Amino acid sequence: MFLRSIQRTLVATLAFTASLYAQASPNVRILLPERTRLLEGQLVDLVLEVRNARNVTNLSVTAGSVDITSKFSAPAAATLDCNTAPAVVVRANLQSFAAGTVDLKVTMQADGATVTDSRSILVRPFAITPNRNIILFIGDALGTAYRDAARLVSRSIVDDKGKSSFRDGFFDDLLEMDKMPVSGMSMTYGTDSIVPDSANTGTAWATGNKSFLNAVNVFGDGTDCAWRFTGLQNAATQPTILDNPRVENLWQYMKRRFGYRTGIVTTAAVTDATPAVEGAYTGFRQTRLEIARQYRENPMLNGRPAFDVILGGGADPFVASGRPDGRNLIGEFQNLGYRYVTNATALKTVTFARGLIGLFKGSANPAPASNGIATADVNMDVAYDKLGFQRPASEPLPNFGAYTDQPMLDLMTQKAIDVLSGAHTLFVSPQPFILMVEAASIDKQSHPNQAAGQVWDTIELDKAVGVARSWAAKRPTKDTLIVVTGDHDQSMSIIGVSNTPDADYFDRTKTQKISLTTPVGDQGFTVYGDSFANARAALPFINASTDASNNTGVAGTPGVFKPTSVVADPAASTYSTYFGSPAYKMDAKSGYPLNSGAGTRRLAVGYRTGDHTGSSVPVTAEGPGALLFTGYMDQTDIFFKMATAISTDTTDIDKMVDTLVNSAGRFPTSVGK
Amino acid sequence: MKFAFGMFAGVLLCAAPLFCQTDPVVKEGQLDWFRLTESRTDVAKQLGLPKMVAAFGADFESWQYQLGEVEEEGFSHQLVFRKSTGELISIARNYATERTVDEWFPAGETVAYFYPASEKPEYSVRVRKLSGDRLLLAMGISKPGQVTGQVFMIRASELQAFYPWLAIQLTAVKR
Repeated sequence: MFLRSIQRTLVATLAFTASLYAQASPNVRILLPERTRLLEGQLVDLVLEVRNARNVTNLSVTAGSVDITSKFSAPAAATLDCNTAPAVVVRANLQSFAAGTVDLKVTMQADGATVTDSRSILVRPFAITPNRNIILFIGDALGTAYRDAARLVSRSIVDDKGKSSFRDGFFDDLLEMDKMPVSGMSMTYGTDSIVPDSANTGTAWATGNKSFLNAVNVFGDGTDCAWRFTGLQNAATQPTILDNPRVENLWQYMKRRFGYRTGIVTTAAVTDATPAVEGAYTGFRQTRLEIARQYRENPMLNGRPAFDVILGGGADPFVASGRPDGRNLIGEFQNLGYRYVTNATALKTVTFARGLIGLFKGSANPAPASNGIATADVNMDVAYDKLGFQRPASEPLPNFGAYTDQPMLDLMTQKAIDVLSGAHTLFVSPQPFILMVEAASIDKQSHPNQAAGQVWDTIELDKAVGVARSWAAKRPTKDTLIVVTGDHDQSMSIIGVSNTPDADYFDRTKTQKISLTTPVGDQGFTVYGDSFANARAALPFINASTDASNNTGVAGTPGVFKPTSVVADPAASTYSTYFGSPAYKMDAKSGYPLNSGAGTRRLAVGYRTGDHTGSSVPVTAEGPGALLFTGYMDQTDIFFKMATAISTDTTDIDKMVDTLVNSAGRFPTSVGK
Repeated sequence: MKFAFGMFAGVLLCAAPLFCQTDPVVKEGQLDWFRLTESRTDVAKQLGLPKMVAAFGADFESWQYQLGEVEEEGFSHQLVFRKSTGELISIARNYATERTVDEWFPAGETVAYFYPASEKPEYSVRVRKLSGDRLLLAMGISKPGQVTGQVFMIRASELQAFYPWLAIQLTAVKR
């Protein structure tokens, strides 16, 4: 009886489920996020997804009082959500709107049923203010701790007489980015996660709209399911990676509408996510072959190149042997009048060029990768290695390959500004420009917890900021907005100082093992002498002793790693949370702090996960409209604030900043600023 | 850039051979890896807990792992379950350093397919049909000895929804 009852219930449930599936009602969805914000005239793909229907008729789309139905192409059958339910997609590519609140309304007959959807889009006005430039610096993973680390290392310099530039808790001189007058904080959440990546955070500040992990200037759609989480992410056989609704970024917007010159400078491969958001549109950041193609023939610019200046690593997707289509994109750029350079020596000789492409690292033998989407991810080498400094024992040795003459970021920045601004020319009225400069390896070195590589790259970024500030300060008019921010935070935190002697810090032969026994097996970790300055995420930085005092009173918690080997001076290799300050010597030749030598007392940092975090990142700004960047903001606001700074009279707010900065003692000023 | 993100979990798992099924192995001439009949609990026992779980599509859930050497911000293993039933549908094994996989694709049991066609192919896949409605794919290669960055296993009956061009070619061959 009981069993029969269960059977009946089961049959009824199954029948109900089946009927629900079979009778699912047609519906339509406009593929724009709820809080879509655009600039007047900014291009966006309008895509309608119709589910549970095979035929669409009587389509009507209005934007306010304007009928835009004719902009849409014929409905096309589609597979959505990786299921067999019938579906249709209708597109109107690259549309734009006038300023105001635009109420988008869709009505249609889907298999005979009337279905509707609507969106309200906030479209901000944009009327160009002549000849204002933007230079945006992105420190990849430039969270507050990363800026702090760069400051503590580069501004704790002990001179020949033993005097430190960091005394009693004050710096004589702050970072270049610290000296910029306006500061804020930016929240970096994506549409699908609180911990974002460089692609969807870049989409936020480049387009003013949020998106999903790995997305480059596109919104999600119903065909993502086949590739987004399966691993089947090759563009050759999964063309739906490239069918997501696109939204135009500020670089193409300014070039297309106002003839701005545009540039990207990065220490990563130039097709990496952060530079990609200034010049490409794709659902998956690793579609580097496609990203390189879009740099050459950009979809927002009718096939014209996205940039006037491209400087960085990653030559592979631009050379014929690195591309399945056999195109020599470098040659195509050269045919369009771009100058091509491959090393620092050649870059130094560049004064004026119609366009400039500099690719300073690549593979020895570029070949299309077997996943069909990307050639090798060849980033430039880090500042620490370019400077020729010795890496600590646990960090990898330099691997320049054939690329031994790579420029520092400040030189790349200066040359990009020179070319974009038309310096060294007789141009009476050169076009204004928008430039993004990225220090990429702050993040890339932070992932594997390589503190030296990471910190010196942040210092390298700050020197590039200095180049831009110096250039802008010499301009006859205050016409250049400089913004410095991170795309997302990372997990490094400052945990103290370490007085590990060089003999331990650099010795790759002196190792110790940590073993842990777990229910499913033993783990073994190798620890080098530099562990006192660099506590790894994967390595338990444990108190090996039973002396609770080593861990400020609690035995067994993360704290001091006590070496088991005998050292001459037991107090030498220690790490202090509460006592002491960093101390570095300056390398007079390079202008960077040395990480070795008698008396060096290193900053000690720790990594909890070696991955991105969901913490907010600092923003600093200088120049016209800088005050817009004060306070807590969403990352998408950075896009609108940059746009506003070049499209609005900011005289009144600029005067306020000038008053604060140049108050002659009326208002307090930070020490070192 | 490659790095040993997830070293902790990788070392943990691979230190115990009985539980270490991060990669296919050949035992007594037979391929031993996932059966695609494993439950979520079985997978967790085998690979540990995923770094990320994401719901997607109409009824799917993805488990993503970072075990051993992986590409920056990439995943070593990506598994897809049907959310409502818990059925394991597919598993992608990504290699940061490309490798040969010939031992898992014996010549007599493996056929190469080309996209869009064998003339002027833009992409190729070596396919081995396994028991239990399973297909094993070596992505981006067509011949033994070539290196690949990804091996993919999927239920043949689910191929149409996730990788339609190959499903169509397999069906055409069947006819």
